Amino acid sequence: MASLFVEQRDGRQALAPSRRARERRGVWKRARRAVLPVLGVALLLAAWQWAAAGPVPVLPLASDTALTFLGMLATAEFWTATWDTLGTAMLGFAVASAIGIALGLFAGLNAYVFRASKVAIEVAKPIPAIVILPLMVLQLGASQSMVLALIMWALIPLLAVTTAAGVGDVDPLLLETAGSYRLRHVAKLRSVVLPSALPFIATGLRIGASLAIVIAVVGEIVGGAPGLGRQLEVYRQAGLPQTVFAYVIALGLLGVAIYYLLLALERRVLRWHESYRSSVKTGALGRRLSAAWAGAADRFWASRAGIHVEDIGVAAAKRRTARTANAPRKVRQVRSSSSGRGLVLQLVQVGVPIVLLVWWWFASSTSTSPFYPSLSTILEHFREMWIFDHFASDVVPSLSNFIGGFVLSVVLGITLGLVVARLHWLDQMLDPLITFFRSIPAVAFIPLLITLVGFGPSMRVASIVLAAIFPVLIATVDGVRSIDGTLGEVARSYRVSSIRRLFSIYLPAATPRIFSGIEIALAISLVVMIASELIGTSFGIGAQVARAQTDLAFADMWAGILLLSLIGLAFSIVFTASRRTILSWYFGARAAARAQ
Amino acid sequence: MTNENLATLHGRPAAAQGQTAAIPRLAVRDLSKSYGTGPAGKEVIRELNFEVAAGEFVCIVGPSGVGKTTLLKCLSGLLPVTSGEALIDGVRICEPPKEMALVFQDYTRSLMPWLTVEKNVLLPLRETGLRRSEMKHRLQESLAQVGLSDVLHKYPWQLSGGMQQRVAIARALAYRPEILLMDEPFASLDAQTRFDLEDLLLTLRRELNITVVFVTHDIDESVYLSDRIVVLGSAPCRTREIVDVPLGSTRNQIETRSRAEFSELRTHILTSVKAGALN
Ligand SMILES: Nc1ncnc2c1ncn2[C@@H]1O[C@H](COP(=O)(O)OP(=O)(O)O)[C@@H](O)[C@H]1O
Ligand SMILES: [Mg+2]
Repeated sequence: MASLFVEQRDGRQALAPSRRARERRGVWKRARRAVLPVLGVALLLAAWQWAAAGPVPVLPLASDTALTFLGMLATAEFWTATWDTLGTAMLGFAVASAIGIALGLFAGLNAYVFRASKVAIEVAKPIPAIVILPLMVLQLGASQSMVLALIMWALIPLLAVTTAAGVGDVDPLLLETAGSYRLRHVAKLRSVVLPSALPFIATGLRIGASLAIVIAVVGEIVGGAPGLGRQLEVYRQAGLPQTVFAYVIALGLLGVAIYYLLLALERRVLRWHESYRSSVKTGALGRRLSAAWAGAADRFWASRAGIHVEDIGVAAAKRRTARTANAPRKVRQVRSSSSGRGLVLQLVQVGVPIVLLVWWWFASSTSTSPFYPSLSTILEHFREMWIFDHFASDVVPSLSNFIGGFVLSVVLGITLGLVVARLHWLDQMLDPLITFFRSIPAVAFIPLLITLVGFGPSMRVASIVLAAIFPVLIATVDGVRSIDGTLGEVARSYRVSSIRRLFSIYLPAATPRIFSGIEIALAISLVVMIASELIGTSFGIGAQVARAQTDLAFADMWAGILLLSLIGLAFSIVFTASRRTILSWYFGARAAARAQ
Repeated sequence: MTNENLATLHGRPAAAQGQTAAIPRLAVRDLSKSYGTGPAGKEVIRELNFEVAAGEFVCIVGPSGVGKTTLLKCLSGLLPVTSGEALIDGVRICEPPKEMALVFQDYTRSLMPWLTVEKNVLLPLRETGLRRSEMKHRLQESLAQVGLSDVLHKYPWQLSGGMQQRVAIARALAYRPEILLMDEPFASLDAQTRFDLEDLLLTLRRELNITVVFVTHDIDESVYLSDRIVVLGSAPCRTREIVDVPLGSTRNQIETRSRAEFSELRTHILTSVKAGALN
């Protein structure tokens, strides 16, 4: 009894002070979490106000902009424009989803269709919608249907590929079970295939919905279709910077609202799903989550086809490991690649694109339509324009702006990301700002920067950096945060200095995610480069395409589109190759883990 | 390099040992550790007490989940204790002390997958300001000791689990710690490798005069290796018993394990652990 008494007393004495200290710390922590984000926003506004009043007179005052913003909310014009943007985006989204999902189911269930479309989709993936925008403007005018066409171009492949990936991930055992119960095609589709593919489709839909808005804004800013984007451009031309700022803020807020809405919707719909249950901590709307779920819009540009979207991969990997009986799948793969059917499939994969190209060549060779010149004419113009006449005057400046902006956003994004990831208070402070800025459609930065710095190359580079830095930054923070705790402990237990820890441990650990961010940044950089030249300048590839558009020089325009596509393709190949080399350890480790 | 040299390099010549007898090399005093605070907190260790003399080999045994890993992390300064203290030479441990190395339980996660074996082993040495030639020498020596001289340029994920753990051990050996903490380092190895590494550990410890704290849930292993065994029992974890192992300083897998004292000790500790787990 006596000893028990002593033990309790000692225990209480030892625990009491530290518990109080810990509670104090807890209160302080909670207060910080509430105060820091507000402080971050307040500091930004204060800095803005100060800069506008003093050293940067071209910047409208924050207070003026706030008043303009509030005034704008009271105008019918603003709400009409909002409705135009949202309505077009939703319509395009609905139609494209229906078509895309149907195509995806078809391709997912039929190996021939899948292989036949594979190369075409791989090639089309890095070609953003803005590349075909001039063509669509010529055909359809600055109209809603032009925007709809752009949305189709972007969303149908996205949804087709995510859906096909989902169908490919259906457990073959489930299919066989369904077969053994003699379920017919439609019933099998409805009760087995669709539910299993649903998380993939949901991801595609979420990315697609945000993307539809982004593309609508591009079509409005660059193509002149009615909506928020056109208002932005109109007020920019009218020389009213406060209103331009107010519209950009509105676009950002709209983006944030849509993002959270989609997240909530997806949670509701997919609550039942295992991979969803295990991968999402309900209730925590922190950055970790939002980064994993990605600023949908950005992600799109990275991988229009969606296959590389991290969460799809993660979901698939989780389900694959959760699956105990995956033997049938392996057997099936082996059989199909070694047998005659495998050979036929490979022929289809290579042959169909070749046949299409040949068909284009001959079918267009007698073309008299001004819209569709023959392929040989296009190639001739391509050679004359880009390789001889305009190489130094247009191609080089475009590429240097593009590469400069891209490299700058990668370097700045990683540096800032490392700092933010290691300083918790800074992260909390910047969180709302980062969420807001990355929700602004990339192209909307262009009119904003034109009002501030005019049309020079610095505007183009700055627009690219503003738009492309966020995916890199967020990916870096997320990558550093996701580091395995044991590795950090190893470093600490050997007293590895914090600088070396940063470069030998945190940075390498974050590289796989950083590369996903860079992939997005690369695609955004290309889009912004093209858009900034289409909006107004006398040199650059985009400017030449815009000139061809106004001159109705169709072959030149096609040649320009071809060049932009090739640039997109070339950079994506270089990117993929460098990722393969730099991340060889990552792919190796993943393959080793999977083989176990 | 001779054994004598190695011992001097280690900074603690054998003669100094006697003086430090009063202050133990490592001491755990009334150490308690809880994860989390308040009602959601989980008390894992309650008022644990034991000491480790310089040059001693102490095993910590206990059922899995009792808090052995947690204890080692407190000892190595990776986790803050909730109350009480862990001392090294009488000084409270707050940060990882520099004369200590820890071999983690989770070998697949304690090697950097982006570094080759060579760079993994060299990583801690880069902080010590050693000359390049000396680092190379230690790298080759330690890898040879664990029998892995030929995997210098491989990545950890290209190796089997047992080889990965041996790399982690080589990393600790190359660091030349005075105190080596090991968290179930041999749990995933096959029997033969395990015997070899046990003997290697005993040899190294004798030659270099290292102090070893070795966590295991394998009772045979603990008896074979140690001078003393700390038996932990029941959650929250407390010292259940401290048992001396008078099996001499040279041991042999076949001869030692077949001695009567060995099986007596083994039975004794097994009973103690079982009783502790039931409480
Ligand atoms: N970071 C942690 N947070 C909360 N509980 C933990 C944590 N790490 C370990 N635990 C719990 O502490 C107990 C002891 O764990 P551990 O020290 O790993 O045991 P052992 O190494 O003896 O198997 C376990 O019940 C475990 O669930
Ligand atoms: Mg453990």
